[in-house]
Amino acid sequence: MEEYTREPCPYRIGDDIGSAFAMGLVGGSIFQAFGGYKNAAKGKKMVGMMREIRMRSTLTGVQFAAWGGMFSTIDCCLVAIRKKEDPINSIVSGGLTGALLAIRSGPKVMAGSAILGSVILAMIEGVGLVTTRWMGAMMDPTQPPPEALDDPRSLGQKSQAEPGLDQSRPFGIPTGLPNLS
Amino acid sequence: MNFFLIFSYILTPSQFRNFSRTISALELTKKPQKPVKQENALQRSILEEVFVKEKQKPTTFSGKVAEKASNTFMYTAVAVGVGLIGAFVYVLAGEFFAQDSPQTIFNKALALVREDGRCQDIFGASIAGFGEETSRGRRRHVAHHKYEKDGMQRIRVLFHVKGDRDEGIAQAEMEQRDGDWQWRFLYVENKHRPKTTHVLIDNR
Repeated sequence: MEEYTREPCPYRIGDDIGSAFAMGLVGGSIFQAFGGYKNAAKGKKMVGMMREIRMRSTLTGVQFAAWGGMFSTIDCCLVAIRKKEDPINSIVSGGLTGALLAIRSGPKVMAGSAILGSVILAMIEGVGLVTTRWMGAMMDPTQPPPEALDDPRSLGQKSQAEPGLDQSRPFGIPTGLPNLS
Repeated sequence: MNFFLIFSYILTPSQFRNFSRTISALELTKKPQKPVKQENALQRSILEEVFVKEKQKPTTFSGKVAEKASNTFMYTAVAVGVGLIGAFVYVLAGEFFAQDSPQTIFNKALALVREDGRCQDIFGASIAGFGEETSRGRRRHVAHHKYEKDGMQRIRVLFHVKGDRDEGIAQAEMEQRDGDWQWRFLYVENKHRPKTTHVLIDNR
């Protein structure tokens, strides 16, 4: 229960900037290594490659960090405004991040990168959703069906009224309880 | 210019001077005709002129067949890709908007909790709702359990609520009755003392 004592939100931005920078650095190193190797002079392949990595991969890292920090900031703002955390937040903030980072290129480019950003984030969210939903079933098809849960004890004894009979009140709330609607 | 250099080796200086004069005179007469400027929008830049090369149309029969075949393959690939994305979007939309998806139940339950006066008394005027927290500080995943009991499909959803005054846990369960998903129960429990359980819906 300790993990709920601190709100993740403002601190999460720093975490995201750092992890995005690391990700960009590693990915950029790998990516730039190919280009450096290809474009280097003949006897100096290794040196050229290393120089290219040193010069370019940090830039890629910084670009990633900008993206991650912006994304996380907007996500936190949306959480604070909507008071709800769901995939829509991250899709919207992906789009806004794309737009805001391309703000100096004019509205057309902004719209394009906003669409791209939100589509990518929607993809990521979707893949996450689908994997969490289907991975268990795919891993072990012979596992028994999910066990039936008992009713929570704090709800008290099962009410005697038949379910779904009382149509006059919303959601069939039994008359024994105080009127809540 | 290369032209000049080559000739400068062969010719004597005076000859070269004469020759260069005639050449420059020729060039002067040539100069005035400038390249006609294209007015249309599809003008190509210099970089495009250098780098973009149009592929020649195949003239032989076998070449034509090969081009057609490769074109067909490309179109099929694009169609398959579009179809895959469509299927993905369809699945996602189903996950999001289905009546029995945890996300939908979470949305509805949170709306009910927010509207409820007693919940506002317990937690405060504005109530935030979120799911389980991951190590990266995301709280998007709503805990849920789908099961079958007495021949009925049920889904139980657990999420966290937090207001200005207190925080707690909300649990909701829905059951499929006659093909329609209906509430079975929805209640909230707060964490601080005095601990109370407030039942919003009890439809068991």
